[in-house]
Amino acid sequence: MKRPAAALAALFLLAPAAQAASFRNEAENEAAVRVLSAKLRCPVCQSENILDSQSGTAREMVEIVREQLSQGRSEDEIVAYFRERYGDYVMLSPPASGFGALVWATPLLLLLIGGGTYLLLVRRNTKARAGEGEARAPLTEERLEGLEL
Amino acid sequence: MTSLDTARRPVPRWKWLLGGAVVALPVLLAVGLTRDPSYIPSMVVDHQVPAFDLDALSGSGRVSSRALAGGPYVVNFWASWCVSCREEHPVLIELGERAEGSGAFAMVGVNYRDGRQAALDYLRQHGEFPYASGVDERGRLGIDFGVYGMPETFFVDAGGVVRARHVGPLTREAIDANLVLIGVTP
Repeated sequence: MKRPAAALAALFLLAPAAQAASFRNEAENEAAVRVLSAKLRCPVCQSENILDSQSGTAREMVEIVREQLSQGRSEDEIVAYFRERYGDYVMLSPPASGFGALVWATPLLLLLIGGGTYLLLVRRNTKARAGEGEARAPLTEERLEGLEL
Repeated sequence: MTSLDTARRPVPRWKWLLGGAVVALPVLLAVGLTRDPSYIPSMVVDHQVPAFDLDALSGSGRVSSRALAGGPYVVNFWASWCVSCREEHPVLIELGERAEGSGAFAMVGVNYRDGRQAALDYLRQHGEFPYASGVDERGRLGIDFGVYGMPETFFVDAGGVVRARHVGPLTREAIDANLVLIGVTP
């Protein structure tokens, strides 16, 4: 008589803990759903992510993200799943490979070209100023001849 | 003479490159502006058709890729809520009759994210298709095909490879051009 009672008591005591653990897992999963969904672009509504979009397709895509995360698939695998269907278009920030790499590199390249040009001009200007002292020397007979007017 | 000498000196290569880049960037951006930003290139074209097995819209049958395998076929995604689907409706009926008459290719519809009753009412009002439609109630098959706007039509060859996708209302010209790609001569 004692054993079943103890088992029953244990069940009652442990059940809430198990429940709390499942709630916590669910909350973690839901946070991951939101993080990943915010990175995926809605194909129907163009410049919105699927988390913010109210379109049916986007809602269904969030549902797919939720399902696959709870099945234990990684973020990369889920992104790959959508890229297989919608291409790089589905990613709000372009991937750092292929054509996407060019997109990321362009601002850096422009900054380098701009900075390089600026430094070059500054250096040339400084050189020209250094030569100015000579130009301001009094206009003697020899210098006048040298100018070849 | 010194000033003239500098003018004749050949322009260094880096200046050419820089000048080229300065010209190329606006040209690139200008070309970008002429492109349709809402156009999404298809990922299924030249790939195996996504497998499907859907409940038929009317009756108790099924619409599946397995049943269609072995011959070329056309898959049309449509919905009763889609306004431009009305525009292509007569063209679809005509194409369905052509498929039935020639036997050279098959045709199926996919009723995308729609209500069954709304879809049936729509067909009653605009005319029944001479082919079956499967029900993609949640749009999962649409996502597999990479559908982003209604209507969309896919052309699948006898080997089960998607050869073309048409976005927007079908036209007779688009049909003729795309049927050739799946081995159907007009």
